[in-house]
Parts: sequence; C-alpha cells; structure tokens
Amino acid sequence: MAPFIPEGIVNPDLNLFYALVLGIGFGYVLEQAGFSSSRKLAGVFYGYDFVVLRVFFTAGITAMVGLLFLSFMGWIDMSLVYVNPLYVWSAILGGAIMGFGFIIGGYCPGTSIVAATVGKIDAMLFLLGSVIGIFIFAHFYNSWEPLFMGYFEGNPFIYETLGMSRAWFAFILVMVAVTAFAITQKIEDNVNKTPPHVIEQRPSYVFPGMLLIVSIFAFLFLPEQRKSNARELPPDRLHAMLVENNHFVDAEETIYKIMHEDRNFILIDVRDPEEYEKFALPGAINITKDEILGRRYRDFFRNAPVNSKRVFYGFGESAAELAWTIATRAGYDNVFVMKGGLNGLFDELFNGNDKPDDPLDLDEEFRVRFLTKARQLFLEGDALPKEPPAPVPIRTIIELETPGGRGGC
Amino acid sequence: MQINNNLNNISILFFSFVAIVVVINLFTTNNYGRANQQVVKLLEGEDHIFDYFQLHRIITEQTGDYILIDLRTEDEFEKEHLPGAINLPFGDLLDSRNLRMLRRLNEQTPVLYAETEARAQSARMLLLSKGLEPRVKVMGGNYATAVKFALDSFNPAFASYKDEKARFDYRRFMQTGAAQATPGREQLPGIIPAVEEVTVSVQGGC
Repeated sequence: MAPFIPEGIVNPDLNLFYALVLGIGFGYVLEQAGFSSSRKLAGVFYGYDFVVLRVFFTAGITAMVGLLFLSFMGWIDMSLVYVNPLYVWSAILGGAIMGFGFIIGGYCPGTSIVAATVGKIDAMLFLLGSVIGIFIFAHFYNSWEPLFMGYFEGNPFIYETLGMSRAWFAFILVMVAVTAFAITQKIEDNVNKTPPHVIEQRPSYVFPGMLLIVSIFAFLFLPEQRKSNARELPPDRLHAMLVENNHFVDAEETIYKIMHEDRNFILIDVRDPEEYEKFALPGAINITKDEILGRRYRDFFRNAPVNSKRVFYGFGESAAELAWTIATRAGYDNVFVMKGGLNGLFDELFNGNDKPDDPLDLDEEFRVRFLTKARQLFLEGDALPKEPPAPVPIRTIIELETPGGRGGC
Repeated sequence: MQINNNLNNISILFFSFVAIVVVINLFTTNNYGRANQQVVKLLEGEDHIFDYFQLHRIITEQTGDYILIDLRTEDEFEKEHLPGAINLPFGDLLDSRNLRMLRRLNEQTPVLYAETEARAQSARMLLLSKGLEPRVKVMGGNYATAVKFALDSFNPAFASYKDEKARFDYRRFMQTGAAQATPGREQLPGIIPAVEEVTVSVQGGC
C-alpha cells in the first residue's frame, strides 16, 4: 500500500486484509490471462504462445513506470521498497530448476494454485510436488545452507551495476519490452501459421504502446525526486520571515513559562543527544536538526495547537536558527527560536543588574525581582517539573523498518 | 474494431490524467534548488566554519582564495567592515543578481559574516536550498567578535570562537539532566505510557 502506510492514511494492522484483496485480484488476472492452462507456459518454450512473457513483462513495466511516477511525486519512500537480495548460487541453481519445472509441468507456483483451484488434476499434483520439494529443502537445509547463502552480493540494482541512471534504465527496458512484444507476435504467427484475416482483426496496441514510450521518455527529463512539495513555504516567504526576525522568544518569557509549567510552551533542545543527557532546560525534549523532518515528529509539528509555541534552543542561537529554518521551510507553524540560546539566557540571569538604576522605574524593578526569583530556581536545582504530564495512550508508528534480506518467492 | 477504440480512449484518458498531474505539480513546485532533506544533510559537520586563524591569515597576507561577504545593512557596512569585504545585505540575499554573482565566484570561496552567527548560518542555508555549491563558508562568531579576536589583537586562544559553545558551567544549575527530569515516571502506579511506540517492518516478495 505504497504511499498510504507511511503517511498514516492506512492502518498497518489491516495488512492481511489488503493482502487478501490483492491476492484475489492477482488470481483473477492469472486466470483471465489463461494461465490455468499448462499449455500457455510451455508455449513460451516451444514458440507457439508468448502470452506469459507478454503478461509478466507488461506487469513489470507498468509497475516500474508507476514506481517512477510515485517516487517523482514524493508519494513513496523508495528506501522502504523491498529489493530481493542477490545470492548468486541460489539465483543460478534455483533459476535452472524453476525453468526446468516450467517446461515439464507447465506451471509456475502462482499459476499452479490458480489451475488447482479451477480443478486441474495435473496442477494439484504439481502443487503436491512443490510441497514435497519444500519439505525436502527444509529438512536438509543444513546441508544446502552454504550453497543457498553462497556469494551474497547485497541488494544491488541493475542500473547501479551498469552505472546508468534509473530513468535511462527504465526507458531502455520499456523499449526492449515493446520490441519483444512485436517480435514474439511475429514468431507466434509463423509457428502457428495464423491466417492473414485473423491477424487483421486483432486489436492494435500501437497507440497505447506509443503513449507508454512517450511517458517513459518524459521521465528522462524529470528529476528523480521533486525539490519541494506543496506544503513547503516558498523561498522568498521564508527569506522574508528571516528578515522580519519575529520568530524569537526572549529569556524572560522562557523562564516564566518554565516556572509556570505551561503545556503550550514546549522547549526543543537541538544539541546532540549526549549533551542533552548531561543537562537540559526543565521539560525540554531533544530533537536534533537531522530529526526534525523525520516521520516520528511530523504529527508533533503539524498538529501544534494554535497558541502554542515550540521553541528551539541550543548553546547559542545558530543551531536553533537552522532548526527553525528547516522546520519553517517544511511548513511547520508555531515554531520559535530562544533568543541567545542557553548562553544568552544564563547571561541575562546571572550577569544582569541586581538593582534597577532608577528606583522609580517600576517595570525595571519588577523585571529584576523576577530575574532574582528565576535565579533561585536554577541555583537551588529546583528547575524540575513537579509531576509528569497526563498520559494519553496513542499508538503511533515511530519508524518503518527497512526490510532485511529475506522473503521472495 | 470496437475493442480497439475503447482501448485507445482509455489509454488516452489515463495518460492525459497522469500528464496533467505531472504538469500541475511542476508548476506548483516552489522555486528551490535542493530538497529540504538534502540541505539538512549538507548542514552536518563543522567544516564550513571559517575560524579566526584563517581570517587573520587572509587579512594579513592578502591571499585571494576567499572573499568576505558582509551581510549587514549598507549603513553598518559604510561605518566599518572587515578589510576586503563586500556588502550584500541579508534582505537582498536572494535577488537573482546576487545569486548570479555568488554562482560566478569560481576561484574564490565566499565567507559569510553578519551581526550574529545565526544570521550568517541561515543565509548559508538559504543559499544551499537555492542550489548553490556547499563550499560557502560561515565565519564563526559575529562581526564584533571577529574584530575583537582577529583584527584588534589576534589571540590564538580565541581562534575557534563560535556561537555553539557552552559558556557557563550549566551542570551546576541543571544538576539533574533531562534523563532524570521526570523522576521515576515508569514506577508510578496507574500511569500508562504516553505513546506506545511500534516499529512496523515492511516485508516483501511476490
């Protein structure tokens, strides 16, 4: 469910349900393509029927163009797409055994299940054979293991190995596929000696084929990933906000909010986790600037209450300013920077005046009194929240694990 | 031929839909030169910080490898500036004329400074997100500290001055670190963890 699970639109707990729906669709397509007949698959090897090749090749290039499109739109995270690991010996031996089985049995694992479902006895026997084979493989797995896991090459991509770009590889593959369709059709006609009037009545696929080629050609000139998305702030707006300089929260406000434990005022420490572990302002959470755009904090930033403030701070101002720029460009509202950082805050606390210069300046008088109080808070080590925030049990996806080297069919 | 017409119509509909989506998308995209994630990656490390050793050297030896760029306003620049610096007010940073000028600096590495280091850092980040090469440098500290530590009396002790450094003994004031900031939260009875964190693993195959 490509873009939906990472964006949180679809509940991952329904995975099995979607698997069922997709599986039914897959079986339907296989049956409709006539793959429940063992002659279809064997036909590829004898040259009288290339439907299998065409169907699977079409499925492949359709999925490929779709992936390119989704990746261009930023709707899919390519790092989460499962890539089969390459075990050289397994690939060669397994391929040979499978191919041999295709010719003799006339089924591949998928089509054999479809054929068995519609009641073909040979397919049922084929399935029984595969089950026995799986049993033998599993039982003597220890003996095969060095062969099975031999020559592991990681999860390479063909285009990376060939040193070409993804779009060029896709383009070449589509061209190869379209050529293969035309040539196999010719071979089929020659082998079957199809009469000319049947050929003339066949629907022509020239037009959709041309559109496919044009669209894949367009991908050669489009970037692999967009440089910006619609949620982001335009550069001149971001620049204007930086020039305006209205995104600061001063030391007094910070201390006031800390003393009153304001829930809508969340301090975000942008320093390294090690520094954060040593000390941090009371109640601060730690989000480094690499993590701001992560999936984990997306909700936290996007669903900020209207009057709330999410305040970045570091030792100085620059790290927080960078964090603010990253977050604001991503379109996150209600983010601020603590003026002067920790250094500025403590400078104001401990190096400020003890007495107002003018005894009648009441504003200054109250400011000094407030700072004196705040100083005590820090000096007595009392700068701690008194009780933990009210817990709300929410189930959130914090990270999607990149698939390891297992699985496949 | 009925089948054929339907097929052509459906394919035209589908492809024109995709084409419209792509074209709309191309026109609504903001005018950035790099994706936000790429910019964040380029911000890592501290190689782009230009310290006062280097500043002192280029001022005394007059080497032409670097060009100092003053991001303060014109008035402030007129009053005083680092020797050899050129003025590029922060407000005009993203003007196409200035961007073109910065792009054309092939021989010289631009070094940004401003009244605060944060301003120079965010200027560098804006330039990166506009697609400029990541070799743009930022002078550590601000204009005042540069004058103080590199011009008036060069002191190697302050050469690597920068904004992001602890200037107080913070552990005296915040003795309990963030790790213990909410003491014994797990042990308190009747409290459900605020967020139940799950890691969803993606499995594949065909």
